Amino acid sequence: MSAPTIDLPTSPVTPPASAAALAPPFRERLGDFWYTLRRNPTAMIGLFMIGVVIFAALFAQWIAPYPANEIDFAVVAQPPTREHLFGTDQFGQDIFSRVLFGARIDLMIALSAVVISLIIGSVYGAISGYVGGLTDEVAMRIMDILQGFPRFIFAMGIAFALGPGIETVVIATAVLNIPGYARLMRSSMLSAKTSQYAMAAKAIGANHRAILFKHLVPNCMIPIFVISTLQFGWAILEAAGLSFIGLGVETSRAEWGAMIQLGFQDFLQGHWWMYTFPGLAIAWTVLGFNLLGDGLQDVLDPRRR
Amino acid sequence: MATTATTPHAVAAMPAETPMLEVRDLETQFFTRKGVARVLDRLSFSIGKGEIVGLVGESGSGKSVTGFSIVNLIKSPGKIVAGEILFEGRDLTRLSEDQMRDIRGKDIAMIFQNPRGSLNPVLTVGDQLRQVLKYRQGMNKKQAQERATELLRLVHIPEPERRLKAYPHQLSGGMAQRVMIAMAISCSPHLLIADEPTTGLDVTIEYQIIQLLKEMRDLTGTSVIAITHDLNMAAEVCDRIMVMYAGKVVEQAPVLQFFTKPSHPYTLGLLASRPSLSGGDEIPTIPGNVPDLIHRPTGCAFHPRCRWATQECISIEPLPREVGPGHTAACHHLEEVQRDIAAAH
Amino acid sequence: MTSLLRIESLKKYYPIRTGMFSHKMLHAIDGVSFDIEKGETVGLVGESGSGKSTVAKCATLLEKPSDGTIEFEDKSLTTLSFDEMTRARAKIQMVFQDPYDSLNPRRTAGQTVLEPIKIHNIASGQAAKNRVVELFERVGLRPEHMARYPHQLSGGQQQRVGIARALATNPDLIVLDEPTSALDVSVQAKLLRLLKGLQRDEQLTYLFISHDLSVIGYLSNKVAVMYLGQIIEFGPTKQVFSRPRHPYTMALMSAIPAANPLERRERIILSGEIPSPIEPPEYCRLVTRCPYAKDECRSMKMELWEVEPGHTVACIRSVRGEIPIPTFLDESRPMNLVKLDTGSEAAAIADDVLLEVDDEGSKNA
Repeated sequence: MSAPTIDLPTSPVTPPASAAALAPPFRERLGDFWYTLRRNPTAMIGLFMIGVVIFAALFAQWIAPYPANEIDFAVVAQPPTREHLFGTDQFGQDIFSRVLFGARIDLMIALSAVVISLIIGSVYGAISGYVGGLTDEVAMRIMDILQGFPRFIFAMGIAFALGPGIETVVIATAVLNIPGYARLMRSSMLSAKTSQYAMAAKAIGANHRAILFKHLVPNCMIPIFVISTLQFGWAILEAAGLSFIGLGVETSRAEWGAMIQLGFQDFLQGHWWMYTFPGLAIAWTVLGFNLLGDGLQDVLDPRRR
Repeated sequence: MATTATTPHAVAAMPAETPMLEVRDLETQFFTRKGVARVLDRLSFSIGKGEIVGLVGESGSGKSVTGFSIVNLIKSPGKIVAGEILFEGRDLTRLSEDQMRDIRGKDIAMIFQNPRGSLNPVLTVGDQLRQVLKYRQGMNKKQAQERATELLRLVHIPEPERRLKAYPHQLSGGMAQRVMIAMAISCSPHLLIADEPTTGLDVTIEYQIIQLLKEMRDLTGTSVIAITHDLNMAAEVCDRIMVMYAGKVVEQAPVLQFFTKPSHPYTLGLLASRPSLSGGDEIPTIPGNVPDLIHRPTGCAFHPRCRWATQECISIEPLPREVGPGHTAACHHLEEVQRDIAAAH
Repeated sequence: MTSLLRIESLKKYYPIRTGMFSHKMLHAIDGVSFDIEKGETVGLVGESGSGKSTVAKCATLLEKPSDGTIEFEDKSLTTLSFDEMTRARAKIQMVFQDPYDSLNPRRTAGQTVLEPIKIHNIASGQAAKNRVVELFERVGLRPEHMARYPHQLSGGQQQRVGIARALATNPDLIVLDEPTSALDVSVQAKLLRLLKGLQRDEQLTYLFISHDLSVIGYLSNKVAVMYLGQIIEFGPTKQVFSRPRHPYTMALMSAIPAANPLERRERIILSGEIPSPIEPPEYCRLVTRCPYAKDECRSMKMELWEVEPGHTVACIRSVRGEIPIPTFLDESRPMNLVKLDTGSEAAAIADDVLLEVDDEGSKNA
């Protein structure tokens, strides 16, 4: 039979520019991520709220009407006015400016605490889950003991031992979060290590370190990242809590928990603005991280795209 | 929901009596990032009473979407954008969600590929069966218990009283599918949609389930749409087979006709792609892949993969043509195809 | 011909916890022996729970057998040091069942195929990359597929990447564990053709595991039928499939839905379900479901008796000729005679065009 000659419609698909490359350009991957993220309203609201906080932290110097520690006894304990949007504290410091500067310290504390606990917790959990058996059993019982203490009492213990200060808040918060990361990593690891790609890696002769850190851990990071955004919120709450009970940052510094503590000393005088505005800042930030975390959960799973 | 122009071919291969289900010009589309995927493209077919019809196709052919469209379970980003689904005279696309819920499970039942996943893992088989009977049929506790036992006996589950107390994870795949079938027929539905009912089951068990489906049809007179990628299974269970490609039925025929005189090039490809037990020769394959439903090929959707394709196939969409009694195929070159088959012998 | 892989009374038991301090043994494989000769394909057929995948894992050193020996090129695989094991792995490769799950979702197809080349120091730098390109060509993929992540490839393309990864180390034996069971028939046909072509071109030896008899029939010279951890029939594929001797093989054969409804096959129907491998029947494994079972089947140890040269069966009644042997005729399939993929330039060009297309639509479907 003779072959009929026909005009083919032109290919609708343009060949990718990255022909013969081993990986697509980073921008393309980022584009995919951004596309799915943009269509997720929860994540976008969360992102916006956090964006505001980060903006405040970065540009506090320029947008704050007053420096963080400008004591002015002429305007002590003023309720909100046009000059002082959030009012002033007992030392006449502008609360609006201090809330803006406070974003810096609080974000820094949260970031360091989260990064420390993420690294220690996930490596611990990954190894525990991968090795399995008795090692896993013992490792997890240690985490049980750590988690068995009431969180705040435990943090207080660390704070008493190290003395108050930013480092104390960071370490206490980090230690508190390690078991969560370890458990999460371990449970992801338990399911990932039975996957066929893990078996395939073993079949091609990859050693344990390669299987664990090249194949399994990257595939277990999604829940870790999602939890991290949530942990970020919790870390800010915990840090503020420690400062509030006087075990964290000194009240002279512009930190939200410390500001609440300072403001609370004037509770009976009815100076509500002193603690309300830093409190709202905490609530805003924590809510933002929680919304982002929920949204990311849907966005980051490659199998759900 | 706008209906498109009348279709001359929709009535081509209809049984004598009024069909119990008639799908006319159904269009279900998925709105994705890359564009609109026209998964069902003016799909038309009908199912007679008591008929077992096989809806055969490969992944991407739209066979499962057809099943979900009928019961109106298409989820975002998918949407039925046009067409009618006439079920016993009522257009299902116009019903409210409440009315639809009433029809699902009562008049139209569905069973799925993963039976254990479709059962609630924290309730026993008995709990779930009794619940259906209580809500759907208004039975009291004792009646429901008796009927549940009877249903399990009907689907040949040994020791039904004991199995009623079992949880889904305690059942094997085959056993779970029997339970699903029992649940599906509990309200004597008029139509049963079985989406890949035997995929993932062992061959010896698969055969038992196929037999069971036939038996249930004989017993209750329900019509069955068997959605499957497995032609062998379709051959075994169906009265009539419809082959779907890119959201359209390209060929439909009574089962004997289908295997003795396959006519559409795609059907020929599907039939030939099955490796034979005797091994040996090369398996003929269909070149290319299933088309991108966002950028559908013009004319006949199969033309880029067809050795008989001509200019006509690129520009004009073929309508189904009668090949034999109740046997239609949508191809411009049916004669050439038949001639080449005859010449090859 | 010399045997490449020799498996001798292989056993694999898994402990199953039944209580706080008690456990029972799950007999995944219970005394399996067979040989694979260089260049041939042995098919391993069985239903779920038959232990066929466990045999694959033991042969590819993914699982340590509880008992028995596996010899590869006359060297025992069960007593290797870690380094020797890594070297042996280059020679024995595996293709997995689920094409998507067997690829790391966070690595591109190219990275996946590159990895074994790096591990076994086969090539480095640009040479390694060239080898990846060459492997992609050999399995019918194009260089631009290297930058794709698994979820951007169709099922058939994913499995081709899996095959390329297995070929990367120039193995002698490839164990294929249901490589096409997750794919559509037309895609399956292409992959089977690819596998057959690769075997011919590179003198590969295959151990092909499947529950699908027709796939086994197409690809293998010999077939081993497994049931509940044991081989119950073994022999040349043609002989076993045309004149099966074990009631279980007969049942498997007759349970394949007829390819053509005109064919009326004799049915050998097994009742009930497969017993639990925790407490399998003691003597003949099939005794609980076999239509021919007699009292002696419950008290006599079965072994593989030879009924024809190279054709062995573990059923005493069949060996004695007490079971009628059904014959399964070759299906006549006129469609095969029509070449579908020749003659049309349109199709040839279209193949290239369509390879590009991802199956977004099918994912939604």
